[in-house]
Amino acid sequence: MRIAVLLKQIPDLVEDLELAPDGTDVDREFLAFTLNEFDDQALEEALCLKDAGDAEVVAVALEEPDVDQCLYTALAKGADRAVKLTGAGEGWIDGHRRSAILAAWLATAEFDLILTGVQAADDLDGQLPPLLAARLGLPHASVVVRVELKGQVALVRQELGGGTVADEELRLPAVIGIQAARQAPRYASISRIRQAQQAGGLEEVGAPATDAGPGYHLVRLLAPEAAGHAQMLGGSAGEVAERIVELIRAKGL
Amino acid sequence: MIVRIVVGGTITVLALALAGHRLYHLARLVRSGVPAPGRTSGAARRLGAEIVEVIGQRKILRRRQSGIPHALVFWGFLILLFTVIEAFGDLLVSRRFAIPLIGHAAALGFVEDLFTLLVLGGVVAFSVIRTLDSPARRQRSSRFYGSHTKAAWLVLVMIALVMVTLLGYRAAQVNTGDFPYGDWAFASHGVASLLHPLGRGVNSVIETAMLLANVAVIMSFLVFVTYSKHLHIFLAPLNIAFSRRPRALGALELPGETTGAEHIEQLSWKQLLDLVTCTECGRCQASCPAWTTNRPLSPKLLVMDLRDELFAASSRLVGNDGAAQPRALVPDVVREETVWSCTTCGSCVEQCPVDIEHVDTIVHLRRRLVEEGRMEPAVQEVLQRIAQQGNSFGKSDRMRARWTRDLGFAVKDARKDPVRYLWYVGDFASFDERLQELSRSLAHLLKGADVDFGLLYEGERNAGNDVRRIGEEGLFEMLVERNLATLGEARFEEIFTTDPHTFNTLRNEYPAHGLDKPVLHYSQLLERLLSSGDLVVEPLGLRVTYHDPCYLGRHNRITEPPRAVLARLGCTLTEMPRHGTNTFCCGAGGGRIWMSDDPALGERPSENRIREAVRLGVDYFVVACPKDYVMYSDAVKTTGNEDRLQVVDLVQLTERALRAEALPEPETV
Repeated sequence: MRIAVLLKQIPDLVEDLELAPDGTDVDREFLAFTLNEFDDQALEEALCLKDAGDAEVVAVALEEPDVDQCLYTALAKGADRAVKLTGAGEGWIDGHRRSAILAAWLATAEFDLILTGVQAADDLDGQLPPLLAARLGLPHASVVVRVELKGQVALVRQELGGGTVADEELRLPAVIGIQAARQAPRYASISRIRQAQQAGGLEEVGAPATDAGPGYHLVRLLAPEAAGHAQMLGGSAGEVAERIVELIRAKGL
Repeated sequence: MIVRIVVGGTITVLALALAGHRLYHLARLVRSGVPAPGRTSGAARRLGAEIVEVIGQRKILRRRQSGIPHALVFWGFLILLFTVIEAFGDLLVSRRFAIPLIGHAAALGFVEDLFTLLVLGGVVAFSVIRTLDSPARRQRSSRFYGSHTKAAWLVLVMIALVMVTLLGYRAAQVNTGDFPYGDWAFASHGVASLLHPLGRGVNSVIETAMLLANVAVIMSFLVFVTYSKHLHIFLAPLNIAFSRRPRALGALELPGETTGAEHIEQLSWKQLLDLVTCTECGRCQASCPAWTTNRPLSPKLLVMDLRDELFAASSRLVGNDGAAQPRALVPDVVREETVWSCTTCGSCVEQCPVDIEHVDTIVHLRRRLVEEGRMEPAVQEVLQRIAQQGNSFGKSDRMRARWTRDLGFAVKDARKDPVRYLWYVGDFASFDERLQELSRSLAHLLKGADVDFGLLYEGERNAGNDVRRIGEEGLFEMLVERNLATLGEARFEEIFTTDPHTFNTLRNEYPAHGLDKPVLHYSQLLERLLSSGDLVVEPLGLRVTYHDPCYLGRHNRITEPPRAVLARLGCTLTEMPRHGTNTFCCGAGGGRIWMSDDPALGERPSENRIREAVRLGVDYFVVACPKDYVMYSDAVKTTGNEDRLQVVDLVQLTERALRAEALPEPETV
């Protein structure tokens, strides 16, 4: 059983996002990057599958800022291999191009299961898993919260609207978009990450040249507008109470 | 004489063989531990500790009630070694044996008799203490809870028997004319007058019987000691000799293996020696903030559990049972929640009369858990935030110095302009809104006193004190590297910190990695500015108590500067019973501030502390640590003492004295 987990670096949202001068991307120069949290869930679910049975976990990522750290962390957590696809280009790689590159590479290797995060904060469209499945001609399920393997079948639990869940069977190989792993992502101690770094073992492969096909063209990004902030009322209980009454009156509630 | 030689000699040879065999086994067990570097360097300092702590009984005398009887018994044992020589002389050489040269000195006879009685008095005192503080009745609040109390009583009986038989045969010797001392051996002569009517023949039989009994009791005591917690008689001097000097506080022990201990054999020989030296006195337990507030950690029981494992594993460690399955120290020997309950406040280390280094061992167990990712999700999150963003709040670097915006003046960037003092603000004082206010107060004070200071701005990262104590040694090293690189870009003469935890690691742990600048805590800086006249204040006339932060007062012995500041501010200081190096932890240290606390456990350490302070009848609870400010501000509320006690920081008091303005009423929001 060989499982590919697709990882993506996105800007760390603790930073204030600023737009690049041309208005079609965030300003990447001073941003810190971090692993997409849903991809972290996908990695955890893959490692749980490995813990539960006989599976090889391969972490795959495009060459993006701080991606080495991300892949070594995956190795430290228990991934068997880490592959970095280089030369896919700088800046924001949208879901169409990303899926084309990844699909081209995945087609060159044998995988029984392909896991990735259900979505990522930088596009929020959840397109990567279905696009990949379509390009590879594989079955697909998304918003999945649990995966079990039974021979050549994956039993998955998918979240639907209104709190309903569906248990489904997918014939392998398949592509699954993970919403949450069965347990919180594990911790990789810095000493383990450093050991992984020292051991090397990051496989660098040129990203296959591909034609992404029809997609969209980004015209303009807009910076978030500052929303209203909470106001803290200080002073004695009496003063605070007076202010609250004033506010309620002023708002005409 | 033949009977005496045969019976006495047999007992002695047998006992020495048994005890020797046991001690040899223990020595092999201890030596099976991994290396503990640096444990023999600094011989003079070690000799000093031996004199002060062993001969002088310094640490044990801190608790007078049990300390004085212990000192008397200990000194008695030393003096009475002369009577042991005499006993063997009487047994093997001649009934009239006397130690050459000094064997007839009146003073020796007097001192021997005096200490025989004093040791008996000590045994009585110990019995009273053990009865009053009986764990059967007082449960967890007894410091003997979980200790081997039956063995302890047996030891007391044996000591009493040694003294009684000693007096008995000495008295009989007086009556047979064999006693080497005159009237100054008052107790022997006193008892002799009671036995005198029995006649010389009976006294001669009594002498032989009591002498043999004396030797037999001493010898069985010797054997029993090597099989019980009373081993400290032999091992305490050794453990103290090899202990970390000046004390096992401040810096953590540098781990040989950064990934901690999974099995007992991964502890160092010194850690193993700690285990077999423990005498189960429970001083650590009685002062532990976790244990005294019903948390699942007693340093004593932790040591005892590890010792049980050491003995249980002995066939694997030094025998030929190499195939035996080792037990995981956590959770098979020590529970996970026990290891995480420690605040690393160091009270156990401070109290331990035999210099056991509990905190180092607990952190070493944590290292293994961290390595395996076994920790609370909240702790994992904090570690990931610190690794990713460099602070425990998970905020952007660039937000670190945002609190300076409202100052009304620009603080220097020490990476651009040289400064006299580099202020290492720390995460809490930088990011917590309540504490940012205090940081601004301190900045205004410094500005007003014309102090040349600067910050590292977004270059500062969490200094790593608590990260290291959580057991994430790799992250600690990463932080040290980053911070030292940033400090290398800055130009300054001295560092001062807001947080005593930051202060501790910068002062005690960073030098090993290359930091060579003096490190101060802001309380020391304030004292400096007040005594130099750079800060001029008017007396506040407040009634206050002062809480020593563990990492300032205990770990770093800085107890006077904050008090000197309070004195200059014209505050009347009333001390809490637990103060100075004996301070009581707020419960936030060692990463505990990020861990969950089961509310069902009841009173928290910070609440226990506030109740201690409220009993003093003072108005202000003065702190000198950002974590304390947060913990105690909460605790006065949760204990309903807001109208009785107000938590203030040393900085706030100084600022108010500077402006000489009235303190506002305690907030009631």
